[in-house]
Amino acid sequence: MKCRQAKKLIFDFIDGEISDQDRLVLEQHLSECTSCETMASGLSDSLRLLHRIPPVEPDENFNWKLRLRLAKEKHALQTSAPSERSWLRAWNTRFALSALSTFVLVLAVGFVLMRSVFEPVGGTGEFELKPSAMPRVSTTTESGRLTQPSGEGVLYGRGMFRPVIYGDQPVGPPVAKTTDPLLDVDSLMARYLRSRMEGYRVQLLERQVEALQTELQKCNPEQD
Amino acid sequence: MIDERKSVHADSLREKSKLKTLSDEELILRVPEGDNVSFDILVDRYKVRLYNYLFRLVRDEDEAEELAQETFVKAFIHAGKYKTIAKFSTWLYTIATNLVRNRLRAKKRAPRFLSLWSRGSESEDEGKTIDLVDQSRLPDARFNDSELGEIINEAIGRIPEKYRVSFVLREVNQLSYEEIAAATGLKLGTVRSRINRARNYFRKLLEPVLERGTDF
Repeated sequence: MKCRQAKKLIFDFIDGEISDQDRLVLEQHLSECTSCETMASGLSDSLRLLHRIPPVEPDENFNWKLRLRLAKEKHALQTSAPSERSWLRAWNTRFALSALSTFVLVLAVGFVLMRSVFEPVGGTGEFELKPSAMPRVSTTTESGRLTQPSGEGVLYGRGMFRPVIYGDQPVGPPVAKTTDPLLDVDSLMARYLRSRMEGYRVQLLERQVEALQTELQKCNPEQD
Repeated sequence: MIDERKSVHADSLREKSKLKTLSDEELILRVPEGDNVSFDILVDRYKVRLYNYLFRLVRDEDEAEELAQETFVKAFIHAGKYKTIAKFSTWLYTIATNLVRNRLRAKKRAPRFLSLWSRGSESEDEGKTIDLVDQSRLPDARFNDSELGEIINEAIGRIPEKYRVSFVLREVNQLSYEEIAAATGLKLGTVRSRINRARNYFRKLLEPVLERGTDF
């Protein structure tokens, strides 16, 4: 027999749950193995000591103290019952219900938002951003976006401007035109920008004219 | 008049002695109907066992008494919820075990600086195999029962809390493994292994005492 099996049998022996056959085998092992024998005798002696100590007696007034305490508890129950307790129960129920409904509402709103922004990619279990949820390009032109004549920038969203990156593609479907030009902010913004661009061009042309005139003067200084 | 009183008293004594023949389960079922005498009998039957169980776990007489009273109060208030599928003793020990677990947990959570004024955290002592015996004693000096009781309580207190509850229920309160499993909510195999581990801890802790010989 191995020591591990013997240790299990030692506990069975302590519990009085050992068969006669196992007992004989264990006794045989204990006579040969000092370590197991020390453990068995240590366990048996220590538990014998524990069982030898007399029980501790509670205070002699234990019953009186308990009666007093029970009377207090009964009184507390009677004074709070039944209206207070039912109110408390009702309040707890209401609180639980409101917490639950808030949770469900948050879940529902989250779900609806997710469905409006993302759509499932067939069979993959993944979701992708819906085209309609992508940043929309507002326009006043036929192509669906407004590109400056020089190609320097593009208008998108509600009157926002960002520089055009080379190779940039228009995103999202074109936004329908507003019939009233005064209400179409994008259109007004485009016009404003166009006028600014025109202004730059005029300035540029003026500078070029000035430069040409200077050159001309250098070529024909006798005209002065 | 006096004869009448004597007769009433004799009747109540007869009633009480009749109740004393009833089982725990029969008695607790009478409590929700307002039978306080039945509850008194149950208290008398269990107060020492319950107090001993709690005292071995918390090692403080006042605290053990307070917990025992709290257990009985809870049993009284919730007597209507008692189901006969469980033994009354198991049900009572379940209440006590839950209370003592909460108490020990609260102690562990208590701010550390408070332990400066107390005798030290129990969890710090757990499993420590320091000598329980005063080394200044002569080797052949024998222990009296009260000294031995203190040493044994100290040793039980040093068994890790996880194993201590099952160990005390088994070795002090002599509950069966099945009853301990029901009272603690643990599986039977877990109960067995915890008790055996605790027995080993206890043996190692008492080694210095045992080395002096067991004939105290």
